[in-house]
Amino acid sequence: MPESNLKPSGGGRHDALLTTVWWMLTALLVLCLVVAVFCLLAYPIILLNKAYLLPAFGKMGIAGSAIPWIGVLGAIAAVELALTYLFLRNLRRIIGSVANGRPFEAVNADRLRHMAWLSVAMQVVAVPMTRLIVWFDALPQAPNVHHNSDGISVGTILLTLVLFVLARVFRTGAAMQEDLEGTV
Amino acid sequence: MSIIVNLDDRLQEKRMTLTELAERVDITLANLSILKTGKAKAIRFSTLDAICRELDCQPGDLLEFSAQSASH
Repeated sequence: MPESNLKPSGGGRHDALLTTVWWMLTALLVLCLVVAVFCLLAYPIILLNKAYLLPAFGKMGIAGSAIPWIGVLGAIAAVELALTYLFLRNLRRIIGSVANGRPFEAVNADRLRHMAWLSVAMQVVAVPMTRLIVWFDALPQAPNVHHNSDGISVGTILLTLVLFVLARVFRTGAAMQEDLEGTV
Repeated sequence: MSIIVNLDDRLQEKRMTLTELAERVDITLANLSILKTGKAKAIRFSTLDAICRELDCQPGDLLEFSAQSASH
């Protein structure tokens, strides 16, 4: 594994902000995995406890025919979480490389480009996921959830554009760093 | 690279080691080795100035253009 994949250490100067963000991202990565496992297990658990849960769903206005869609929603959410996991892992590796004093490397430009494409994929997956959530939300007596109804986020689109631009900036920075290292 | 660095010849003339030159011009031995072996991509005027001063030579004594190397 490259050095930049590791925890921020003595390679560069100590930066409390970077270390804090690194640990926050580590916690979020664990959370993503836990929630993704829960999403994948939710439908089998519902099926195993069908006899007990179906009447409870009925009271919430969710018909038995809607139950398989919970499984679909769980699967889509797991995919979204997997994409989020990869996105955060790339970000954590970039932060590690910054903390270790070597941010302008070609591998970081690749990571930023991957993050941009991951945010595109996350946006695409968010559309059917949000439609399903809206549908469940519209069912009678279901808890009211406030959310963006179409799943398309202007913020995510802007983030994607910024990431693509940053990938180019880092690619140029890596080339400049390489030139600088060959200068005596 | 079509630029040849003749640092070794100048050092022999002055009977000076690379380590000694590195200390005198305040450049790391690793960087001076990069220059000597022709692996450097660029040289700062300040480095050239310091080396010329210590070896009592001109930049042209250190650097040489070789068309033969360029064609390879």
